[in-house]
Amino acid sequence: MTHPKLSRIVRLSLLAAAGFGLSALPAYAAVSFLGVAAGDVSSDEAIVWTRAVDASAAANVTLQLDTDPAFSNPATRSGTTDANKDYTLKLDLTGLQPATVYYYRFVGPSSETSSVGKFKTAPAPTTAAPVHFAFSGDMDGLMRPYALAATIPAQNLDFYVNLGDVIYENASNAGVTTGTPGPNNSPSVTLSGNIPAPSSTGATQAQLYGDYSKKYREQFLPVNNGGQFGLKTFYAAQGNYTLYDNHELGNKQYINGGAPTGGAVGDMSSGAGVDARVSTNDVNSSTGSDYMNKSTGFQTLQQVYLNYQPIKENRAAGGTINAPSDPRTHNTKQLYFAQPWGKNALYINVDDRAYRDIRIKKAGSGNTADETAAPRANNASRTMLGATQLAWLEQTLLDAQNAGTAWKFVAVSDPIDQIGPIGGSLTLTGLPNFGSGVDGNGNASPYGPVNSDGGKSWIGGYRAERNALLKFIADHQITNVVFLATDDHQNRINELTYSPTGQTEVQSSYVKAPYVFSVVAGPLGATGPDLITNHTFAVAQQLANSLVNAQQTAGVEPIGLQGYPGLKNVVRENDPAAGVNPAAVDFYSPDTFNYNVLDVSADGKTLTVSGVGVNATPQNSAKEYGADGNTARTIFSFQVDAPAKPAISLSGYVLNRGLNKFTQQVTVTNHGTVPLIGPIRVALDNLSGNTALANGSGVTINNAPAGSPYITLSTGNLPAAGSVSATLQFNKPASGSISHTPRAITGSMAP
Amino acid sequence: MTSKTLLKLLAAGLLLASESGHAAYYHVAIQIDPALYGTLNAPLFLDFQLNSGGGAVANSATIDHFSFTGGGATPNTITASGAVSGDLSSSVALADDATNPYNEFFQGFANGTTAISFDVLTTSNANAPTPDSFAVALLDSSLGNLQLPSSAPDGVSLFTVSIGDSNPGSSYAGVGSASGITTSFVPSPATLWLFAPGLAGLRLFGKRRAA
Repeated sequence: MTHPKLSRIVRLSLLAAAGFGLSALPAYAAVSFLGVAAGDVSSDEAIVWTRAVDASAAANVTLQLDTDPAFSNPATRSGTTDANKDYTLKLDLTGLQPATVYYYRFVGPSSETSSVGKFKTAPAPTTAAPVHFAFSGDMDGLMRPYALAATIPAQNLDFYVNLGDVIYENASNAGVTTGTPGPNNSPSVTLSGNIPAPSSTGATQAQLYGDYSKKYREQFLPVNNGGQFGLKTFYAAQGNYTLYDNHELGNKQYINGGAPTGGAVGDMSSGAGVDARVSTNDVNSSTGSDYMNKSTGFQTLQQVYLNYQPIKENRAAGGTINAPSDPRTHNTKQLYFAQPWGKNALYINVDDRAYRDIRIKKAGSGNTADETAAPRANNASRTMLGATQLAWLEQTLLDAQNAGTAWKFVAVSDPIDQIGPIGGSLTLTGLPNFGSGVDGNGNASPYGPVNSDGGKSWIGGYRAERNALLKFIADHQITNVVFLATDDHQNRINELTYSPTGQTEVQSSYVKAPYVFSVVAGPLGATGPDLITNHTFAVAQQLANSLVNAQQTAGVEPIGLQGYPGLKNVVRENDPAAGVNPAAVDFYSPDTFNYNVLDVSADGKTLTVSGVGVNATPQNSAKEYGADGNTARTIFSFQVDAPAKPAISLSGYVLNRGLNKFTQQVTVTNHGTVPLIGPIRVALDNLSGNTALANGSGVTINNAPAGSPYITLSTGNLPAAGSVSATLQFNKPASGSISHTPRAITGSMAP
Repeated sequence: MTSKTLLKLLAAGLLLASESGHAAYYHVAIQIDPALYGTLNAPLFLDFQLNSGGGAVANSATIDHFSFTGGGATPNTITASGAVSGDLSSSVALADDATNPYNEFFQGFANGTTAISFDVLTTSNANAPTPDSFAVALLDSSLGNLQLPSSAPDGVSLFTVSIGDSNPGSSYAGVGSASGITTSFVPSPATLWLFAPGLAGLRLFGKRRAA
């Protein structure tokens, strides 16, 4: 008997079986499974993944899917691992029930069984449901077996965002081996040639494919006999959404999918791309196919990544994006998407690698440092997302706002906040003493907090597009946008600022984007935090204070959410003042391997963010979870209440004979618990043509729809439960009544 | 038409109005300090407006039971604009004809009038986003509004009803810095006011038929 909920899957499985070309099974040796994973889960669909080999041959396997973890009544579907995809297999399951936990496993011809995976489908977009998810990134083999990952299954997440750098290309040698060459003795991938000196002796496509596939496989293997199988249990524990960053793409010019290849140099076998020191390469305006994302090297690396991640590959109709007017994007795989998780949360997965312009380097022979200064980095045409994706992202956010979706989470692989001065670096002083050989007074130190925004970051090298995106969010009053990022190997929370006037190089023109902040988390296991060996609160505080002092000197908004509207219940380990007087350190953890857990309340009113971590451990130390008493704990947590939508009430029209005007009272009320950021204005859309607003403050320009008269009710914030009123005066119509549609506008930018 | 038929129509009409909650009743009283007549640009006019907010559902207002103390309405000083009719000596009716920018009635009253009271019955059909508006004001001899303190929301109305609001009706007291004009209103629960006689009428009608 087939489980009623899974009947459609069974039907699809029959079709899929035909597609996979099932044939009489040959005699098989035992099939071995590397692991399982599920991902790109919607309310009715999921991708499930495995890698299974039978003596290095493709394996025929059967998927079992059930809502019962004992698989008492599983639906089944057959598939064959693909030798051309390193013996991996992905199945696209459709017809699933929303908000349902499913268990799955793969079974070989001789009843060999994979580990059991689990995923939960998203609630229907109309369902008010709590959302519980986590994210991190940056898994460098140097830190295998990623001890902290062992704690993620117990979180019982709705989903996890595997946010970039899910493998590293460099060597790792953990010392404790399970074989030679085993997962511990892992050499670097074959290099592809260095920038800015392209090598003609780079890797072949076959080397590229083989070396990177091996790096992905190693993430599922132990480094100690009897120890944790790397990320195997973590991958199986919940549905995952995955992004790639520079390390999946070779960490050379392939990280710039929108950069010009300059011809055949885009291929690994013959070079590494165009010279990033030359300003003519800053923006790729090709109308043809000279984009790195069209090169075989890029596509090879992207495909290896896709082979090993539970990612839906045919999201675009026809397999690739059809955007002839945007050659940068045309005919590429669509890896960006948005997924509602019930009524109150929207998860947005961005692809900010496939379309970005080149990471620019300073001019000069042999100079490879990032160029983040004007004029090159200010080039308004530089893009990280590409025109098609940027327009999609903006529209997706606007649609969510209009639909009443309380929280919008945007996962980007590079941080979008600002740390250092534009085009420069902070001068840090007062650094603490920690570890060995450290001078804490600004002298040589093995570690300093991140003090600049590199050329990889939004504000470092793509700030015009960053500004346009944040301005769009502010101008359209899209609230509760939370950007999720990793890559900086520290955990920090930050408000986001932008220039309403578009003067991206003028720091003084920057203001806060209302109700928008970013969470930078990670690494799950990578270098940087390991250089801090004193894990006391005092050291973290000194590092944070050093950073904040330098930011204030530079006129940069300091890290943290102090003063953020709706912030409450701030808790930081070893800081009893956090709840009363939150400081930067309460939103900062530089010395841990970590992930952040985010919870949206069922009513959508409150977001809780928790940073969970362990003290960072040394490279190649192969520490298992709990070794040396190093267990996971909550480093910090806080809550943010969502602002209520401002409520507008109107009185009727009254003819004021003294003024010879019609008057009308308009009142804006804040029914929420979070102050509404002022000024508070009301625009009158669709004002009838028989009149005009006689005492208006102006006409909307930035706030769509443009051209509507507006009046300013107050210049300050509107507190919780507060209201503010004004009298509208209208010219007396010759005939007919007056009509309009009022619209509240909050925030400091020009409406 | 027989008395039985009239009773039936009345009862049905009242019940219909009450069941949908489409009526509101107020008693309005205006006190005027006679000393003010030395400072105001008298004679004064009592002004009523019923203006459409542009919504699809119509409303109406009926004002009656006028009472004047120390003076009275001045005949032949009526100005009517839009869908209005009546006289302060009997009753005034206004409708929110949306083809007119405003529907207004005003009529003068004698200097020395110290108190005016009347009853207002409005329908209460809510229109969004802008409600229909019923307003009462005093005009001076130049037909300009007596200006109220800035604390009064619209600066000119002694009494307004944004029809359909959950908390309709408001009044404002005082003219400038002078103590002089005080307005009070007593809203009555329209549902009870209409529902009770409606039900009673139908019951009576039913009993008569049964008999």
